[in-house]
Amino acid sequence: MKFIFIFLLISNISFASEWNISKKADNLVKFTSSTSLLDFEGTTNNVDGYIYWDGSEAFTGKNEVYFEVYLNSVKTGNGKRDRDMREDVLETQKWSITYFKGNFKQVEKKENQNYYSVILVGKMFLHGIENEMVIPGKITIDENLMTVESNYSIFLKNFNIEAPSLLAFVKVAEEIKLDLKFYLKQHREDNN
Amino acid sequence: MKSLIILFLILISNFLLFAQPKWEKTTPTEMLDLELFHTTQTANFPTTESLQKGNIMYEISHRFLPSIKDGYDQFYGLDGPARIRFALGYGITNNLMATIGRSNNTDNLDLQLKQKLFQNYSKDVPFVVSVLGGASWNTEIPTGIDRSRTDAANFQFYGQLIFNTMLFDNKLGIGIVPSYLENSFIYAIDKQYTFTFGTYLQYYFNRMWSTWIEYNPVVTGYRGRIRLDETGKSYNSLAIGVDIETGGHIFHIMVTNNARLNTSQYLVGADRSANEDMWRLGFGILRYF
Repeated sequence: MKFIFIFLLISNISFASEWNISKKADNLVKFTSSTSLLDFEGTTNNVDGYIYWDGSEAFTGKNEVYFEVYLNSVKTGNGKRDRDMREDVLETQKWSITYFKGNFKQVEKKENQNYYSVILVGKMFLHGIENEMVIPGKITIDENLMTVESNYSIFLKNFNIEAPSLLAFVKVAEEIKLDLKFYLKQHREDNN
Repeated sequence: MKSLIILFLILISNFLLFAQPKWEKTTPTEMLDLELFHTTQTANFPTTESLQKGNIMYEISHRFLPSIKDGYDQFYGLDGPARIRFALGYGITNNLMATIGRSNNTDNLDLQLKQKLFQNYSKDVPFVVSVLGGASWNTEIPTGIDRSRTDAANFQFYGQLIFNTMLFDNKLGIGIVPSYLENSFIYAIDKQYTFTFGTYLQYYFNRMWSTWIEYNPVVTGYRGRIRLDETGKSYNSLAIGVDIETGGHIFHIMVTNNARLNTSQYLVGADRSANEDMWRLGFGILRYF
């Protein structure tokens, strides 16, 4: 019985680490739509979420990643286009956020690298639809600041979004490229 | 028994300690501005919508002078001549925009400022109130008039209170625009004023197509001519048209009895009556950058 106690007590020594999005940082969510007639970008820094793991090494053990973006905050530099994007394309009155929730499937850090190359697997929610996604990323940890970068594409039809026709005011490509750069700080009870 | 309880508590603490991250979701506090009509102006009236800060609007409008009744020989009026207006708008803040425009009717140059005042976020009857103030400078000096281009009499001033609401699931827009114009007839010896009660309805079939009607009765004040080569009085303005939002542009296409484009001229009234012989074609194109 004593051994069981000792084992459980040791297991209770927490290696858990949680990093939360630093809302004061220059976080970036950028999408690029490129059609034959028009290229445009939309950006926001209105992102929130966390990375969590309970293993002794970074991103190991039970782990979880969650990021959400407030879609009404996305700006393309044209107010009329922003409104059409919100009302006709993303329908943000019904679904005001997009999120990704998943886990680390692969974490790799080579000796000569100062960053982790990671593969995340999880579900991305957009426009009322959740889709399984595999997302590559690069994570740098520098003392109390974690930087997450990722570039990938989504296809609107996978999220039941009909790209407006070329005749519409807002012209959106079927493939949307996403560039993400988030800054996270380690969670402490006193700096929540 | 005591050992079992301790074991149970440790197991529970294990579960509690590692079960969940401590991150808490926060609700964004930033409210979007109410957006009712799809454009910053209808064919002849301002809406409460404003340009986003730093955004630019370009307008070109035509009102053809020959009547549709003139038929094919005048190509239903499209052969012209026409009153023409060009304008540029700029978003100073998200709720304040400036517009500078020019019409070839008395070479009227105008500068307008529009400020959003109040937004009511009611689900049933959302509404927005804005105010517009403007000054016009009539830079054409007709033959026989002995005054300089910068003479004070060539300037007109106006104010418009704009009320917009959108009903029936964002389908039906209603606008009410009481307007006051000072120095309605720039060649009058005694200064004239005009007060009108503009109204418009716009029904949106979808994002691309809508239809609308505008009526601007003169309630009190001057309702005469605005040019020396005109005769007779002015009439209450009526315009009926469709809007098409496409390819980055908004098109207003209409029939109207009023060929006057700049606000200080439109507010005096229509240059023709609304009887069946006097309807003219017109259009406006808006582009937002």
